[in-house]
Amino acid sequence: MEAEVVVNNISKRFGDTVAVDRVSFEVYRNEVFTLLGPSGCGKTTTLRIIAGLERPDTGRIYIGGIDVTDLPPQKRDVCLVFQEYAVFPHMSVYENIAFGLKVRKASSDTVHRKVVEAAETLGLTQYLSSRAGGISLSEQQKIALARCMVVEPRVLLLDEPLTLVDARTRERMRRELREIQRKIGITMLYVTHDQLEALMLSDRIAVMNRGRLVQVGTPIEIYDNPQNLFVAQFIGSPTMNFIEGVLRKYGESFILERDDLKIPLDNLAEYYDLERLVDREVVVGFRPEDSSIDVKGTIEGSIELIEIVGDKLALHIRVSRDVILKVYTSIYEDISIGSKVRFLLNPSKVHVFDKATGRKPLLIGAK
Amino acid sequence: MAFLKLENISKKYNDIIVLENISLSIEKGEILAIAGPPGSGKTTLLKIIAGLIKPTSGRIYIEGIDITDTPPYLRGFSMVFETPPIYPDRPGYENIAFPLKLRKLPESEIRKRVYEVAELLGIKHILNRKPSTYSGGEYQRVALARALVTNPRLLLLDEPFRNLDAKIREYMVVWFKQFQAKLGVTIVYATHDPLEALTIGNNVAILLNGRVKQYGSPIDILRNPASYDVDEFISIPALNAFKVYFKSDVEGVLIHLNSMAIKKMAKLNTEHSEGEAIATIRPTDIMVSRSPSEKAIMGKVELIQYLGTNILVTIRVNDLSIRIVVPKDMMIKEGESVYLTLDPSKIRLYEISSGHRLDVV
Repeated sequence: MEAEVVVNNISKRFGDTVAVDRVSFEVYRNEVFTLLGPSGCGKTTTLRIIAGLERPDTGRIYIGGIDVTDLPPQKRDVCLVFQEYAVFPHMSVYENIAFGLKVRKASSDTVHRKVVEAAETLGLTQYLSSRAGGISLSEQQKIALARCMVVEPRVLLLDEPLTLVDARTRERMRRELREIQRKIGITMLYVTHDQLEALMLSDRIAVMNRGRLVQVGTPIEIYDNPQNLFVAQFIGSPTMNFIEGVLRKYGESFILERDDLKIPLDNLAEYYDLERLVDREVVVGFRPEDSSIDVKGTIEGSIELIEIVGDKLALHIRVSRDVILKVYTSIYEDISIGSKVRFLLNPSKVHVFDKATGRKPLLIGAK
Repeated sequence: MAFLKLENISKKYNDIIVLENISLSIEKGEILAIAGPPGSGKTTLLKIIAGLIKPTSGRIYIEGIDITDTPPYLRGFSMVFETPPIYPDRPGYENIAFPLKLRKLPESEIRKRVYEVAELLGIKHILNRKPSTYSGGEYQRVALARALVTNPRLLLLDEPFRNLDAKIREYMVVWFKQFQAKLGVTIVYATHDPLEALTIGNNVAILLNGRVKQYGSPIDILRNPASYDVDEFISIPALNAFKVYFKSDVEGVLIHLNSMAIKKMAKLNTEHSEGEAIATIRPTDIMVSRSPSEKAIMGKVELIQYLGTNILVTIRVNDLSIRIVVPKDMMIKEGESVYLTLDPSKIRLYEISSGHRLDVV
């Protein structure tokens, strides 16, 4: 796979704050690569460095194989779509889309052909002669996108483009953006704080926290196999269940202990090097969908609350004085608040973290 | 007898109808959730209940007593808005105590009540702090505490969690429901998010264009939407909707969708025995398999989008695009061929002109 963007060990400080801390990654041709993280994690600064709007203190940026670190934004062959809609409200949609091409002094035939083509792809044809300020916000954001598409940059950079539209429109736009990208096959570097948006749009995701890149992977890898506690906490809605406790070993058995709560972890030994964490503080996490109500279950508790989640029930089960875990079950399950239930965890989907470092005690040689 | 009863409430501004013939009731200790998109009239309805706006016609009753003409301060209700007006320069204690001071209660009584409500809401630790130091969830709880400290008969909440980010909101919604169950206060809760309404309400009213299009329990609304616009509003991810041709006979109805014919065992609520209709099916109600079976139709995977727990797949069948939610463990790929099974009992039919439900449930 060919890398269109190579970010090599960049760092950036603002005063005493380290905004970006030794970040490296590659964006391949025709993929959607997303920088994801909470506000202040350094994702937007990284994007601005790639766009040429900020200079890194150290490190190099390559676009299309060329070192662009010292080049101004307009010579980098990228186009940036901002969070706020940068359309000229008094100009027509056509003139807005044509703007970038006219600045580049393209022939009028070329301008016309490309504008009409981009409008068609984005579903803007009917608005071409309308005033840009008069159409809905989500269509305005498409104008900004079309304006970038017509200049055919090597990489399209998008900075939280869907933040300002309402929830239902956002759901539709996520699907449309992905469809358009698939159709025209452009390389996109996308920035968002919304984990669901990242999962829905991306081929690969880079999760950032406090200026550092903490994990890079496909949506499935990031969701099903978080490499550290931060990613586990940040990805997924509802949030993963977590139980903090001390890992003990009795004979050959591994047990997570917290007050009177004891959870056997024997079947995790094939996934993790538990030996290393014996008598240390650990955090065990699992997602509500990776557990099931079962009379032979190893964990018991009483139902505190039943929540309807789409076509499932989320049971909030109190398993000890201060631990409530969420487990999904079918809406046809016969249960009621206050009743006792037992549940099982799917061992290949249980995550164990060293509380001190936030890392997984992986077996040597295991992925 | 219902605790709160709205009878044919309408509100017009000149020729613009904001609310039309709203009739709803709520039992003591329950939550009525009102769900509708921006501009559907939710806030106007809450303000009418609060007494801040007079309805053009219709009556409001509390425990059988007509309060339509009772001024707001004599109704004994509290209201919390989307962005509650908390005084930024005063600590939490003073903000919560404020309505009691207005009522000139003795200082010892005020202190007792503020601490009681703060304990209940888990905000004792921020009573001495100023709002600028609060998290979004804490801010909203202080507003809630101020509304509750007067022991209101009815609490009116207008999108109280709208400005919280997704993670905190998820937590607050669950916290709120447990808290309400403990306290037993009666609540009318307005939100633009249908899933939030279905999670929070004992009963839910779907408000579209100033009219209650459906009113019932969350499960009933989810299973049996009464009209096309309700079905569309409550379905996230977006509903599949197709124009179809139906023919009904004594056994049931045959639905023609392009070259497919699907038999559904249902009676139709129309005098026509055939005609055009809208058929809908939710993305969660279609099964996908890699192996063919008798009634399965073949399609090609056009697009996949990960949702975490599930995958949203767009599948092309002839010239139809169908959205389906499949479990994350099905390692589905773009470009591959798969087989879809539509469960006829999950297909709903609506009249094209009115949007009314056609299949009888």
